[in-house]
Amino acid sequence: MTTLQAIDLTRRFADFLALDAVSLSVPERSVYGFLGPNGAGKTTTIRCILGLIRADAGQVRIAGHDLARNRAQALASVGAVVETPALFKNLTGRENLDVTARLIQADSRAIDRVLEIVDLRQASGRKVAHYSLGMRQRLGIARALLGRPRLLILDEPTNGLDPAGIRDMRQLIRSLPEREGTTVFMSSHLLSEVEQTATHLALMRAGRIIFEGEIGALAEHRPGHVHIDTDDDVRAAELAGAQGLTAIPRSDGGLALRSAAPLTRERLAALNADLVAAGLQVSRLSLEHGDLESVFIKLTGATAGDAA
Amino acid sequence: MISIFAAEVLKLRRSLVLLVGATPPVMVFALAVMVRVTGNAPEEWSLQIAAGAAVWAYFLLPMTAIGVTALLAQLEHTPGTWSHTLALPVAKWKIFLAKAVTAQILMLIISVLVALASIGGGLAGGWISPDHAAQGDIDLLLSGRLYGLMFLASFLVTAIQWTLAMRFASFAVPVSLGIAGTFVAVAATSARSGLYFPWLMPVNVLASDAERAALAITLGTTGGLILYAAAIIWLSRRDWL
Repeated sequence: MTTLQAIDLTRRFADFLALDAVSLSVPERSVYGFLGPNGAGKTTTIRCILGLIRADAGQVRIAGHDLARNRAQALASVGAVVETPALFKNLTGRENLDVTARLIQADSRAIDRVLEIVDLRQASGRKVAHYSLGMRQRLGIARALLGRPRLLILDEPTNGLDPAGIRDMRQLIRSLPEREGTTVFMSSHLLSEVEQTATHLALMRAGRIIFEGEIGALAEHRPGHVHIDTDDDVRAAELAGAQGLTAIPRSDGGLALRSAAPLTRERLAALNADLVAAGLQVSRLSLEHGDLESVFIKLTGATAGDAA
Repeated sequence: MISIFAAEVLKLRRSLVLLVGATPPVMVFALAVMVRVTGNAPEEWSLQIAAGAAVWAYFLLPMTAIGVTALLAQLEHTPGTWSHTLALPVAKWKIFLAKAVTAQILMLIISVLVALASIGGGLAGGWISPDHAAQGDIDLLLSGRLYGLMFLASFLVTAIQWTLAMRFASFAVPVSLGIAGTFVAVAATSARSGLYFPWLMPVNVLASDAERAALAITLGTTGGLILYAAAIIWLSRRDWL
């Protein structure tokens, strides 16, 4: 079951195509990482999903409701923190929540509930001007949770946080599907952030979705190579070459084999059979995957800094 | 709608809007005391009230409209605030309507306080300097009528300031236009076509020609309501990037 569906969202700003038929399908109770380099179109997509800007074409469905036809019902299922958590610094944490509670006519007891979730009950009487950035982020999430949303949208939720704040934020995000039954949709330009938090992932580049699926499925796109150790590297290289593999001597001894085609288990089994049939003693044959960082860079064309 | 309006009022707590709102009555009170104590105030209460209303309509009212609407809008123009507010499951037009009503109610409250400050300043001045105390009864009806009609006539100028303040994240645009409008109003007070200049409509409430005053009130009120309606529809439909 999907909580959020975006179907062929397209948006153009003058000559610039910001969104090019963007389609997303966010499963219920998932933590869905929305990843892409800066300027890929993540925030524009989020703004379309929230009805802040109109798509030139396409459709958004939230909890089964069409955003264009039934905006109020669709958005009633959503809580969002877009960009920085926008809070009124002249008000206390509790008063900030009270403003939104009045706007959406939420029960006043909901304020205590969400303060408890983000662990801000003690500080709720202090003016937000005196909050740290981490506390403001948490208060922003508390405010987004006021209406018991089925979908929580977070735009770069760890931006600017210190390491302790990042850790707390990750724990909070990971806990929400089980604790509140909420589906979390979080954008980030940092792969490490999404990798440690998300169960599902979409990769965006230049206004297009280039990958969507469970985070484990991304491993299939990892560039890989095979390490083999035998008693005859020359003969092993010949046999590997016959199977379309390029052999490169490793600095620690043995060979690294690369291939343009996917290195499947079947291919490795066939290679092993050939090596053994040729009378070679095989002491090692292992498939080594690159990390997700290299996948991210490969798929998005991002820099190493974006992936860090 | 009431809960949305209540949220708007809550946002004002401890905000600079209240400081801006308190300034005009304090200034008018201080001016009325000084003028009365130094013996430069009119003897009659009716003239004292009219003089206070003129200061309000010429200068303080448009400046107050600039300050109140700009600060109301600035509460929302901090990064991400519009995105949060307008992504709530509340009709956008209701949010903007609540903001327009808040601006007008603040202007009404300030008008009442300025009217009271004008009289209070005159009384305080007369108490400090009994020789210069105003004569006769205080004409509260006159005061209420003048400030009430000026409030109606100022709908258009407040609506202009409100629209610009809501549209532009920088307060430079509405403040610059407001200062320019106030300057032109002072320079063009006696011009025949000045009646049609929004910043001069509250001033024309004091016109000796009753028809001119009535036209200024009608134009100011209806023009303001039409502009508010158009601006609310436009703001509700535009993209918020």
